[in-house]
Amino acid sequence: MSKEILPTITLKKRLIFLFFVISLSMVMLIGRLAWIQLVKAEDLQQEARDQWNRGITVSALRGTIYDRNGRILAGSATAETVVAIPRQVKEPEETARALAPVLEITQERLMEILTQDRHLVYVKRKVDDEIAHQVRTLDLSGIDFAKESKRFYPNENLASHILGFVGIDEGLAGLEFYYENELKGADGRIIYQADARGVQMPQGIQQYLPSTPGLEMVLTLDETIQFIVERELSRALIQYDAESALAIAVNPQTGEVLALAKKPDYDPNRYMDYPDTSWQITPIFATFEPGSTFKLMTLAASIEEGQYNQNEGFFCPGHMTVAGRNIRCWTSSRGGHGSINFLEVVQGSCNPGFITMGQRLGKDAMIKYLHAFGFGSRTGIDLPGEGLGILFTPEQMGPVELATTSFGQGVSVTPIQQVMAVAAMANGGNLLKPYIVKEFRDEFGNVVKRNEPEIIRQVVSPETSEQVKWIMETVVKEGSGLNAYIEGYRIAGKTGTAQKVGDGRYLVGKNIMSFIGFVPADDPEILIIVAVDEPKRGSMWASQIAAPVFRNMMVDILNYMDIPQQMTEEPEIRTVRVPDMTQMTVDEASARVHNEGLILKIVGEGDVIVRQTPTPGAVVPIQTNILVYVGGETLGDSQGVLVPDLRGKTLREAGEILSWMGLKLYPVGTGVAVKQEPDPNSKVPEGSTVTVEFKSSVD
Amino acid sequence: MIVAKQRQFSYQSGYARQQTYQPRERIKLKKSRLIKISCFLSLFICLGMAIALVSHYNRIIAANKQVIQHERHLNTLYEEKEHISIQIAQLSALKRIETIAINEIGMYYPREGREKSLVATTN
Repeated sequence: MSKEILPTITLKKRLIFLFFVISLSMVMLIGRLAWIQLVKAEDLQQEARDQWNRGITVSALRGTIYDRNGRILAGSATAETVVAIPRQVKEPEETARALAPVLEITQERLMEILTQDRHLVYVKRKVDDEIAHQVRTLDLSGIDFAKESKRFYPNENLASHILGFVGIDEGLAGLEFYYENELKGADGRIIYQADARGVQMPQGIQQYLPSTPGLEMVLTLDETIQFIVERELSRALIQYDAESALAIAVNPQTGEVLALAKKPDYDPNRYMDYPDTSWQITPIFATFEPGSTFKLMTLAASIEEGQYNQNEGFFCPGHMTVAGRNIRCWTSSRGGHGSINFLEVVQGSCNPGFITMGQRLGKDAMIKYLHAFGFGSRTGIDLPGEGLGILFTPEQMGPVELATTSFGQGVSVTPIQQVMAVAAMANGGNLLKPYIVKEFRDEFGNVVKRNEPEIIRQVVSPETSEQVKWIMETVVKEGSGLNAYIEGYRIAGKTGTAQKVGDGRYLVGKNIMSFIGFVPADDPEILIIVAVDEPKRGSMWASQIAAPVFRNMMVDILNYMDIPQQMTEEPEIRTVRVPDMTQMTVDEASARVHNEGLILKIVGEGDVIVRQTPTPGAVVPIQTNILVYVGGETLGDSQGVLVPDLRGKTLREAGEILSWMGLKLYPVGTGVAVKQEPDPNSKVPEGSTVTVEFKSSVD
Repeated sequence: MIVAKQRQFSYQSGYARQQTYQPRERIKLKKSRLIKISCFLSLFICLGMAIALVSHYNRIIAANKQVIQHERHLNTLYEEKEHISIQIAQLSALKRIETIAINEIGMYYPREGREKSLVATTN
């Protein structure tokens, strides 16, 4: 009996134990299931979705940049990016060898890319269509293409400093950098379900998240004005063999920038081919001594303070002693301006006259007006890297500093600061904030944001402004700005010649020639500053170099802007008698014709003029080129003649010069001479032909 | 006797017969069929609904696919438009026009024209 009961009890216990074990297991499983289903469900679902969902990025097109007339200056279009799926690359070495010459990447680098432990890797981004075609032709396994947005600048170098450029993913310079957030847009995605091999599932869910293009940007810039400005700067660069040339054109009534350029420039499509120094926006970044154009500030301040009487007499002996320092006038070599009045002080850009005006103003008023005109602070233009300039502090400004500041020496300003200060004088006395972006629009053309003219402060009264404009007009009509005069138009302007500073001293022979002016003088619509840096050919005077460049720009711009001539009667042709400049030095001759409206063109090497054409006494229209030949020994002898350096000369000038030498001209091309055969200073028999290659500024 | 008994049996009243009547198997058979039919019908309806749902879902997916394809096509067209706009801008660049005018057509600026006429005597 006990033998039968014992196994039954044991069995029951075992069964109960098993039941508990199974029950516990079940509870644990149910608990785990509940944990998974109720607590972790969302995360796990997300992970699952991430595993089976694959996405293709739809890159957003960067916002287009337009000029004020709706012409495209920068636009985006799709470009092919070469990508690799490393797991599908069968022979990485062979693939790298095939791709290396096409993509211009080393085999070692390609091997690194192709053997990465990643699902997808970029091989080369945003390649040209031609390269993409070549890669496609290779038909390599594991190599595919993706589409990305690429920036194009259809006008190449035009307005390159303003526009800047875009790197692989973001703006790196100019407006592209400054307005990165507005321009970049937001990338979209195409999401699809794929199997473990990454192949799209036929009935899988697809989702399209469209990209949002960047905002379209409309500039105040005018493509045509920009083109004219750049063309004339290029011409000046070749003609005068200058280091650089820059110009800014603004509407002085609103502060809108119509053109801003510097030569040499760069092509933003190939920005890496240029040195990074060429990317700098020199017209707003660089600071230099303004020279005589700065005298306008002294003039405006003096008028505003009631200390200027244009009829008051003044005697310029050619120099002035201030606190024991002798400060020269540019006329010192010929004994100064002599007895003149204060209107002639401005017209003749007399340094002692302006020193006197500065002394009458005093240190405090001078500093007050400099700051009021915006010097020493940024203008706030919407471009990156604006310079600040350097002014004397009240503690630093002694009598000598006050004197030099009054005629534009010892201070350092940016071209844009000068432009806005003169714009204030031109528009009734309001200092404006310059701006280059007119408005932003969304993809449907709705205006999202608009920049409006902004007055920073009233610097001088409208009456002062009127008087300054009138005086500046006389400078162009009768003074050093005569070479900027255009028949039928009222032009106001001022020349400026400044020596460059290096190693704490003035550099001999290294000058910056500038001209600032606006049209029409009574109600200005456009104001331009032109500066030519370190010209190596021609006379070292702004009236000889910068003023003609300004005139050439303005003639075409006035036509383009359809600004009517203001003088209704038939404008008479203004003439001037050519002075005798033989046996003068180039500097003396330049000073002689400074206010005459004649342009000196120097031929040969030397300092003393031995021949000139037209001949002395001839009556010629103003702005006529006078060819002067320097260096008598180069005129030739019985063994032949020395070939002159014709580079920088126009066709007419080259022909004229060669005819003096008894040589013949064989011209090739149009524009300005850039090359010649035989070389300058080589001796050839009289009657030989010189082949001269001319280049247009558009080439 | 036997006959009588037999007759008695055969003269059983209708009421008694009614009393003893049991509608057994025939009715039971009908219910089971109905259940079967209704099950089958429900199954059929469910299947139909499933097929309809799947087909509807399929149609939605197909439509979704089409919509995405259209959107992609639209995007491609937009990209093409952008590309063409840039090409137009490239072709109408002032520098290009001026280069063609000067170098291919032989046009020149009026001031250059004046210069040309002056040097005509030098050659």
